[in-house]
Amino acid sequence: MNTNKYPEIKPGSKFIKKVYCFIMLLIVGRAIEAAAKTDKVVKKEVEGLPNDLCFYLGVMPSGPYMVVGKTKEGGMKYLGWNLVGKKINLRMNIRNIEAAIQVFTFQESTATAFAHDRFVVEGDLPTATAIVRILDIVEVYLLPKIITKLAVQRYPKWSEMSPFRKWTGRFIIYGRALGYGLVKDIITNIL
Amino acid sequence: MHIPDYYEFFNHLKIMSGKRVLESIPSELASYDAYKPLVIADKSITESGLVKKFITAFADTGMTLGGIYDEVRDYAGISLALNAEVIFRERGCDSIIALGSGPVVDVAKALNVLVSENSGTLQPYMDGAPIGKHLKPLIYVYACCSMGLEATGYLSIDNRVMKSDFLFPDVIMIDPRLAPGCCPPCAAESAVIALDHALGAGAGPEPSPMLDAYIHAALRFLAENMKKGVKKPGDKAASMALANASAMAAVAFYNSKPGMVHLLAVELARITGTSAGRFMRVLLPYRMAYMLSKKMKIRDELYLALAGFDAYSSTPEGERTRKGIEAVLDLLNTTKKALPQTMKELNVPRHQLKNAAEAASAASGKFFTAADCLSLLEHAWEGKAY
Repeated sequence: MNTNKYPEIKPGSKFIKKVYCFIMLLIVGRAIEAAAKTDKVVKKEVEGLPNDLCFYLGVMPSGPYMVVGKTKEGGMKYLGWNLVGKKINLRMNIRNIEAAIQVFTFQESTATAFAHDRFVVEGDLPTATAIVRILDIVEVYLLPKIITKLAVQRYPKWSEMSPFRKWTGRFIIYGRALGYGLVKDIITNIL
Repeated sequence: MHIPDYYEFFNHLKIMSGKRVLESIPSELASYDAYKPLVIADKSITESGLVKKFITAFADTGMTLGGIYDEVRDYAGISLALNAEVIFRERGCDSIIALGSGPVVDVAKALNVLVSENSGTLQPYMDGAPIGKHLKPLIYVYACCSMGLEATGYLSIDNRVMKSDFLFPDVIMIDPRLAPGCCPPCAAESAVIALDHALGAGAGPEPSPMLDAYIHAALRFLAENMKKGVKKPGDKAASMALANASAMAAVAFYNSKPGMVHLLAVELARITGTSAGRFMRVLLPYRMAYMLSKKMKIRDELYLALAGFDAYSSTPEGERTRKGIEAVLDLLNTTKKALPQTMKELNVPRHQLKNAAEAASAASGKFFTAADCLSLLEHAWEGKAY
């Protein structure tokens, strides 16, 4: 029998999708850091997290990743996309690039993605759910309402987040996430 | 709700159904510590280009496919499994993916026994030797249609059948990119087989609550989607529902005794070479009519599953059986244009009816008498009502 008729197949790569996820993770990671300084609800959530927390959110099996850690001052710090040399104690992986695209193009909310078993969590589950709540709030700040409604489990009411708070917060978080620190983070991670 | 004094129910299958589930195959395989699958596929699937969508699902996973063996057509033979075994061993594969229906899954199961048991032949297992251990990971990807036994522990190869709990696929993937049927007859056949399996499983003397749950869900899916799924086999929502119904009906079927229609259809298929689903379509109405004429017990739940709660509760208790049968016949009528309606159209030689009846009776362990089986076949042959 000629087995060469049935060659081994090495599937290709989805480069553009990976780049898109990389940019989204970079912005969200920076926005978490900014939101932990700006928003009182995020601050409260962060207070409840373990002091030595260092987690990543990434795509299986080889990234991209976003590493975020809790600082000594009680805030959050975006630590880049490289896992090497970091004492990570919570790993949140999206099962594959297509699932990540579903989440990052807001076709599927984070909560629904969890329910659909698209996330694999290694570490403390209550901490992971707290991070999902933080991600939801960050998305409210980063995205217009019409898109955020698709991405979060429940859009906050006026009594929970007034338009004034939302717009000032959005302005500050965007400023902090995309400002000077972003360039510094990119250079630090590349070097 | 009545709980039986004793019941057993076995389902090894993990069912994954929904958008983009194909992309979960690598992580599912990784959970079994398997990283290099051999794909067994139907020739028509590679010809239609569906296999490209399948390969794309493995992009960026770091996994290599050991090969795609696509020589399977509409007959599962041991020679195909032995050829696949050569590729499996030469490439150092550690798992199997079956991409297709009926014969593809049978070849994949046979290959799994060969490579896991290192026996070199299936003969001892066909003669009754048990499979004594877990086999290698087997993922079944639903594509186009179902012959009813894929999601079970049955293996049918070279017209011989064996049954083992270890023969269940580990995972079944139902993805809307591959689930739509290729043509109305194909979709109709899958639906009729699922209907027959669900009805047969529910006809036992005392179905278990687990069995009831599977049967009810399968029948609801069929009642709501069969018409649309047969008329437009490309409809994603309907085809997904029918694929799910097939999987659930198969699990229910595995946990119950095969019904008379299934046994006769399998025997006739073996004799004539026509697929069993077509015979089920012809025989099922006569079987229902026979049960009604003999006042055999048909559970009210059949009508509940097929017609829904509102119709069920507004129908007097005494009429529910008849209405349930009418609902089954209505469902079968949706396949009128897609499948043959009479035995004559299926070119069954009349002298073979007796052989088929005797073989079906023997296969049921004489649970159904040869006379009853023959009577059903003759009524169907002559188109004579009970």
